Amino acid sequence: MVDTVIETRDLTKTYKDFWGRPRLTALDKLSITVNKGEVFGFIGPNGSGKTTAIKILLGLLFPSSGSCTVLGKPPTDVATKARIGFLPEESYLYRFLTADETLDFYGRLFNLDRATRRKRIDELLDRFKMTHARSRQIREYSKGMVRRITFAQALINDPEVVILDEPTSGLDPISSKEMKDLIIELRQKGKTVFMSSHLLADVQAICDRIAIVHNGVCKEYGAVKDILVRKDHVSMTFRNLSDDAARKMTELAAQSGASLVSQENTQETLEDVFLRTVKGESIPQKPIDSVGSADGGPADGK
Amino acid sequence: MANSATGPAATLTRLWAVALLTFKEAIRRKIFLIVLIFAVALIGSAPFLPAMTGESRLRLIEVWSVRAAFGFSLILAVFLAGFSITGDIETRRIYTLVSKPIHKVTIFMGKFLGFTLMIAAFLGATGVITMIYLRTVAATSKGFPALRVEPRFEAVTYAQDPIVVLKNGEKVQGRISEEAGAVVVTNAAGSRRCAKDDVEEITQPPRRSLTAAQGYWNPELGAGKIVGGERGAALVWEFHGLDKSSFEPDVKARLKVDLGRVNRQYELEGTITLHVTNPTTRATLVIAKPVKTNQAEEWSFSRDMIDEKGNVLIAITTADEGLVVIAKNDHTAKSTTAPRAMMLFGRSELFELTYFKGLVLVLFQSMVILAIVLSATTVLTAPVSILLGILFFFLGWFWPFLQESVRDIDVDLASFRNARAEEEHGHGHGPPMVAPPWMMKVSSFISKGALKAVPNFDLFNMTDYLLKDLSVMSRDLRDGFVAMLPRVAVMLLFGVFFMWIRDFAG
Repeated sequence: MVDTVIETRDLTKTYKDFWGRPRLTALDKLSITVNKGEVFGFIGPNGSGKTTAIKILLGLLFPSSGSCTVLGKPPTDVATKARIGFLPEESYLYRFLTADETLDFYGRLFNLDRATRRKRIDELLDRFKMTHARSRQIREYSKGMVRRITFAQALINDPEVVILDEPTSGLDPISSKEMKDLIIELRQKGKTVFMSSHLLADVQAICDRIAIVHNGVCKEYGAVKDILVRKDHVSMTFRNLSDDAARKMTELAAQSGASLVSQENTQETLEDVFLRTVKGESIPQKPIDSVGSADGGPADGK
Repeated sequence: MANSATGPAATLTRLWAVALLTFKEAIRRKIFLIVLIFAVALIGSAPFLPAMTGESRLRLIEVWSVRAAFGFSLILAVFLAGFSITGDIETRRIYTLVSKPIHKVTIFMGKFLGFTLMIAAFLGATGVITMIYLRTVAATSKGFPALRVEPRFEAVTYAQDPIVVLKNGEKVQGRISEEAGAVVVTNAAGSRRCAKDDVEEITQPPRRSLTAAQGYWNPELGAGKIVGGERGAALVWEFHGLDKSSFEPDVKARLKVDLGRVNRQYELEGTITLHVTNPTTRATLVIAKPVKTNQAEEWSFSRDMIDEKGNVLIAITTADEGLVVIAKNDHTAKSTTAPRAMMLFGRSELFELTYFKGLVLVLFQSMVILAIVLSATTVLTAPVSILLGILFFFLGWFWPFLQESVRDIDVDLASFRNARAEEEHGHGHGPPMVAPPWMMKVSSFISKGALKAVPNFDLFNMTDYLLKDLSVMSRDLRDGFVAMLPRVAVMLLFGVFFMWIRDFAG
């Protein structure tokens, strides 16, 4: 039995100018579902509509057309928001409050009683290793510390659904690793995680299913292991394959005396799929020669 | 797990959380350094004080303190409100707020509440500093006036006695009683019996409610009314609902009239007769009082003249032959026989009380500006909202002038219409018009709208009371509150509406 936590149907957002003329379609007929207990990756280049989609899910933006539900309710439903945690892309907090006061304030917005607030704040500060700085104002914090407190405020209500906008952006490798561990920990606790990112290695490592958006359009959508499989290519791994035999491999493989160890579909990295998708080629134009190379353009970083 | 997220109690908790946050942030931003500046500047005035008389010292301190508190609170209201919601949107802090189980409208109202609390705290702090300073100066310097103020009472209605018009064209004005077949008109000159057959009609000059009439010229009444003189008619102030216990046994009163003489417009001094009547017992006290024109004259009468319901009637007639009191109530003569020309003063009360009540009036004024600016920021940018707040402040400040201008325009338009009507009948020429009538109509319409949108800030001007040793009374607070509340409510409704329909792109 799969429970749907987030569902969007033909979700479209068109930004308009002062005169009401359409200026930009940030999101074009996005239809995805996120199931209970999974980590869902929402990936795309900058300006692809990721944050727009997240804002709509949180009721920060009204969609132009289409619909979406979170936990079965429209995003503007105030009661539902009590079950959601949100980590924004950049850490926007009240700089003049201390970590303690910040978490206490957000706890109050959830109507948590004093004892619960104290307990959660202690736990979260401990979890994010911020107990030593709890009484300092946020304006004195480093970027990484602010990010941790921002994450902590997203969890103050012990949410069922956690929406993370670029959780690892701007973090050093150690913090980034901690962030990934935390997301895995959330999944183990049975939380549903919806995260946007363009750090593909992270997504590949922790997400169950993903959607790739480009220019507001969903290009790929499904389980990570399915998306990474190229069904039109087969790679074979031989043991004791001589050079000579290799040359004649296609004809002679069966008779050459080599024993076939495995035969499987080619696995790509998420980076390959992502770049291909974003470059606008849903079907590769030329065959892939070997495992691991990207087609459709130079693989100049990400 | 999920908590009780809905319901009025939960909403109030969140409203309070946002209000507290707003308040706390203002404190952390060192807004209250202004209080320190205020205190330093106030105490810095000390070296100038010995050069002045005690009275002037008191006035200087009062005026300075009130004006500074007033100015700072307005600046706080305009700028804090201007940058609050716009700042949250610009720094995208609003995302962390709106993604929580709190409605946008609750955030908006919480901010209003927080800023109101903050300005109240600020005004309270300035008040405490001023009081400590004043008391210190009063204790250490000679000749400093006693720090007391007097509650004042104004008449509820003021009216002229009815006029009996006789068939021969003669008019007699006075209090009327009926006897068999006759009307008895009693006025200061005595009683006169008029046979009912001789009476053409009895007219009652319109009674005017004082609050409505205050400073407002009723065109129907004309520019001037002459009372007294040959006719001996009286000008009457009716006081209702006074609390006897709030007066000394000798009730202090103040009177200010314009004198004239028949065929001569201005007279500098003369004697008038004051008639104080207890409406229940009909006992009348007659006091002759020499007065100077347009000068406040103190006089007093026995507290027993106020009846058990707290009513008392005070009439004036002229005692000298040919002397008249000009009962002008037109807009050009603010200081003449207007409703406030007759005032009673209660037992003096503590200065501090009035000072703090006055600060409440200043708070009301700040709330009006706060509501305007905060609501504007739900649709407009911070600078535009701030400018709008400043514009509204000037509207409130110049309210009486604006009102006068509107009246002038309406009078011009009326005379223009009359002239047009006469022209159509073939005679007369219209008056020269300064602007085309349509433009004047539009101007009048817009100005009247502005006058409705903004209260008259004179209502909140406590300096006015302090400088005359008058107490700010609960009635003044009520008037201020009644002027403030509906406007603030309407402004906030605008804000709530726009906050409701908006989202947060960008």
